[in-house]
Amino acid sequence: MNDYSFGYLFVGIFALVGLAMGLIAFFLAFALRPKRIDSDLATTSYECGIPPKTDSKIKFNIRYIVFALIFVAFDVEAVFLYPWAVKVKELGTYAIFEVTLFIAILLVGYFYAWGRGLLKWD
Amino acid sequence: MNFASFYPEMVLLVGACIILLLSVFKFALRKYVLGLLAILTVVISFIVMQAVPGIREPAGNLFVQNDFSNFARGLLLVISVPILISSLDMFNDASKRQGEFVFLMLISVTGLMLLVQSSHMLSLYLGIELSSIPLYMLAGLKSHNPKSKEAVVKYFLLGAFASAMTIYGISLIYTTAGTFSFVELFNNIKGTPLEMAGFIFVLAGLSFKIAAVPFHFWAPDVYEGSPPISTAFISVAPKIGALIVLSRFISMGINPAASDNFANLVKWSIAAISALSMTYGNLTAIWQTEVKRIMAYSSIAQIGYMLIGIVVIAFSPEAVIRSEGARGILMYVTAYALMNIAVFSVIKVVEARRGGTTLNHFKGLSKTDPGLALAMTVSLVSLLGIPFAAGFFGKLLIFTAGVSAGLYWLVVLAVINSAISAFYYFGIVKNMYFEAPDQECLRTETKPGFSFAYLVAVICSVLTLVIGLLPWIYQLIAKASESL
Repeated sequence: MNDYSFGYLFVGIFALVGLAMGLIAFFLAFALRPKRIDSDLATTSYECGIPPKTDSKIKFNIRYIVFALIFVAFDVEAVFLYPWAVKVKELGTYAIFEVTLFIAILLVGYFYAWGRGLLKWD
Repeated sequence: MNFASFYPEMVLLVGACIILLLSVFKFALRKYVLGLLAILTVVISFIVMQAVPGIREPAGNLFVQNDFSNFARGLLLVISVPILISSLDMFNDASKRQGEFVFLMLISVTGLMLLVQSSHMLSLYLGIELSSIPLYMLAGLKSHNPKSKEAVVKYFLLGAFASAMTIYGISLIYTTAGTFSFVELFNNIKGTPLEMAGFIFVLAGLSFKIAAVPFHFWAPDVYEGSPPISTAFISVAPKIGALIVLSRFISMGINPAASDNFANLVKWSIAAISALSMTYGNLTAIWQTEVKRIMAYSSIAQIGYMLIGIVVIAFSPEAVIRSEGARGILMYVTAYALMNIAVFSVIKVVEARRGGTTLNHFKGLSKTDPGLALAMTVSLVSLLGIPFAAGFFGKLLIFTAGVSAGLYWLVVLAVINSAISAFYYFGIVKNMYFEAPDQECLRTETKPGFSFAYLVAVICSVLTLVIGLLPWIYQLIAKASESL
């Protein structure tokens, strides 16, 4: 076994442990849960503690997708900003310039969505 | 990293963002202002590429800048001008879509310009994605009818699948070669089964972008459903990008002496794709009655001819023959871009004036629109490869390169296929000149006014006639292909 495939040993161990974690959780749930279920309510899906009213397959407003898209764009931006913020002192002004550019590109999309009226509900 | 090398791309990006932000405001002649700004951006980018010193310096490991990649960049910028001009009559004045079209197109051109200079798997993938995602949206910009919706969904899903295949192939090559850079791959590919599978996956992803058999199934539906001006772009620009990067990958990244198995796989897989594409495209185009579908299958056949240049590069290690193959590719894509833009501009005008694009709609076009019929005829004759049209010189250079590399069987097959393609190209010409107009397809109520697509069709077909006779274009291409 050379160094190269030895590196993959850890990937294999990681995969096995990950699989085992899931299986153990399932097994524990199976072992600990009450065997006898009295009410129908207990078998329904959990919806904030109140009895569910309708099927989960409902029509929802397509306008949500615009908000979802813009949310994802800025959510991902935040993810990129964390590692940048940790290292910004060492990286210096160049990194500040790069992040400004990154945010500016995202802002173009945001202003476009705003200008097109995609953020208005009606 | 030398930023001066990327000024042309930066100009395009900044221009695209400004146009996108301007497009949300209402002002007089918005459509024309945005279109003109886009053309201005492309022109400035081209001037910057030619003028700014230091632009030909190497730009790190990710990109390579030489005459070959710079010719392709310049070509991409040049062909986007006629498409931008003819896009001016795609939307009505009140539509907000002009800004979106222009923005998406400029971003896609930026991606392709990065793709043609990439010499690294990561920049290759970056270029492919940056150019493809706007293309999916361009295909769906006028999605009123079900066919258009089908086209965009099909294109997006299959395109995403092809991109996934590409990146999976890249990861497989990396597992044993341990590098992404083409130059380092040259010494590190040992021909393991994983690398072979990886190469096939990368080739499959790129073949999807150029619509080569057996990854062509999206092309006819997308060409039929998309707006014709988008189709002109979809059918031309990604092919330039993918062909250029494929020829660089094979010439820089694959060492023919390293492993017989791997070298044979590279040679014969591309030769098979080339032979299958031209044969299948031509034999299927014969049976079509919708001109857009004929052009889709014709472009599948054309990519088969262009791939001969790549086969030449894969088969012969000698630099002289390789640059001959590269010369053929460059001449052919230049000619093909002009011809296809002209054809799809004609299709656009016919669709607007006659309400459809079946062969019936083209009947008697020479009587109602003689200029249009002539432009179409010139482009089709050039696609066929009749002497003194640009397509002839493209085919000439490609076929002579094939003969120099000893690929007689492929060249003979290509010549037979060119003969077959005469059937359907002249079928359209026959309908335009020797048939009476179909009364049901004539829209007498709409008075034909000025049309930008008409202008572009005429300009591109005239260029098709003269460009093969200009000596400087051969000097340019010969110089570019030497630095492959």
